[in-house]
Amino acid sequence: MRAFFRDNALGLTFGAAFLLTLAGQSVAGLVDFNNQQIADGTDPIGYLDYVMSSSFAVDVAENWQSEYLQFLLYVFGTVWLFQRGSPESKPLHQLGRESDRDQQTGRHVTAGSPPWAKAGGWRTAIFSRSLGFLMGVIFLLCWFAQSVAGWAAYNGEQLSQREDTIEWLSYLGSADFWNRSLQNWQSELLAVGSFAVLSVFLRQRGSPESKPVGAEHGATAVSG
Amino acid sequence: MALGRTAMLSATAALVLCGCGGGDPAAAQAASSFGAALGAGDLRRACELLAPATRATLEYQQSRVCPQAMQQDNLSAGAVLQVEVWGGEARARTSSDTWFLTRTTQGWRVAAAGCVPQAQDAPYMCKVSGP
Repeated sequence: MRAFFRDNALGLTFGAAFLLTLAGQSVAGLVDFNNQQIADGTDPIGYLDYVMSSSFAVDVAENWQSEYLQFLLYVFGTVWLFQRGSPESKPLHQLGRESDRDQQTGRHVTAGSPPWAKAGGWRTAIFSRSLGFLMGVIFLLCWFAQSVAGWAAYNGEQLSQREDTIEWLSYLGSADFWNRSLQNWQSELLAVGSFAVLSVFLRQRGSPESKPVGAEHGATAVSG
Repeated sequence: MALGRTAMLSATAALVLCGCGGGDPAAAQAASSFGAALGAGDLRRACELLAPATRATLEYQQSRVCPQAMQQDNLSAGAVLQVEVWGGEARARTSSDTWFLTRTTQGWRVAAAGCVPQAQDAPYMCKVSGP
């Protein structure tokens, strides 16, 4: 059991922190929602009603989609884009999808290679893209969920303001939908872009996300 | 396929979470009761079906108790044609005008009545409305 926790400490720690912060968001969101309800002259709602509401769903989904979009773009961006001196970047000569030798595919598979890497053909082709594919699918599902939940929350607000509701397709072109999407995307892109650049000049001793403390600023694709 | 199931589940979850646009029997029942009370001239009952904030606003604005204030507003008792629910808010289209309902701790109540649309994207103009 101890070995399991040691071997999975990073995933378990962030998983637990995720659940705690999601619970915190639900409580803070409920209080905020009810403050608005009271200001509007309507009754506060209970915790379960809130966590099943479109208001909570859209707040969660809009953040999830942007996180998966961030990783999707990073997974693909780092295949083709170079950042000199960054531990997040590959060396200039390895840009692109790389050779079978570099990727341990084809004649270069090893005994420990995953079965679909050894299989060749369509299975290896799919496995070679599985990380980006899954990130993309999760992003699209979360963005779709955001659009549906956001549409419902928007229509609820419209009715509370004695205005007409709109169709889902109209909501996809609305300022509310794009404001929610873009405000999350810009923050993710800022974080990723600034990290790629700052990691050229700054260090975090012991972190594989950083270069070794003594590494040259110009050293690319080095982590420690 | 696991991925297909995931997509289906996520889409279903999204649609469930949105609570979108479907009818809610309780909201439709409240709208029908309000229409019936207006049709019967039972303004005391109609006042009971108003949302508390709407009733308080009406009485404050007209300096009268609710039934007398409602009489002054001369609301039409149209038949309820369609009720659309979004979360805790609903809109009832009647043969005469539009009512807006809200879910309260006592159930669905009328938040605004005697409403007619104005220009596009502008709020409805209502004879009776809350804050």
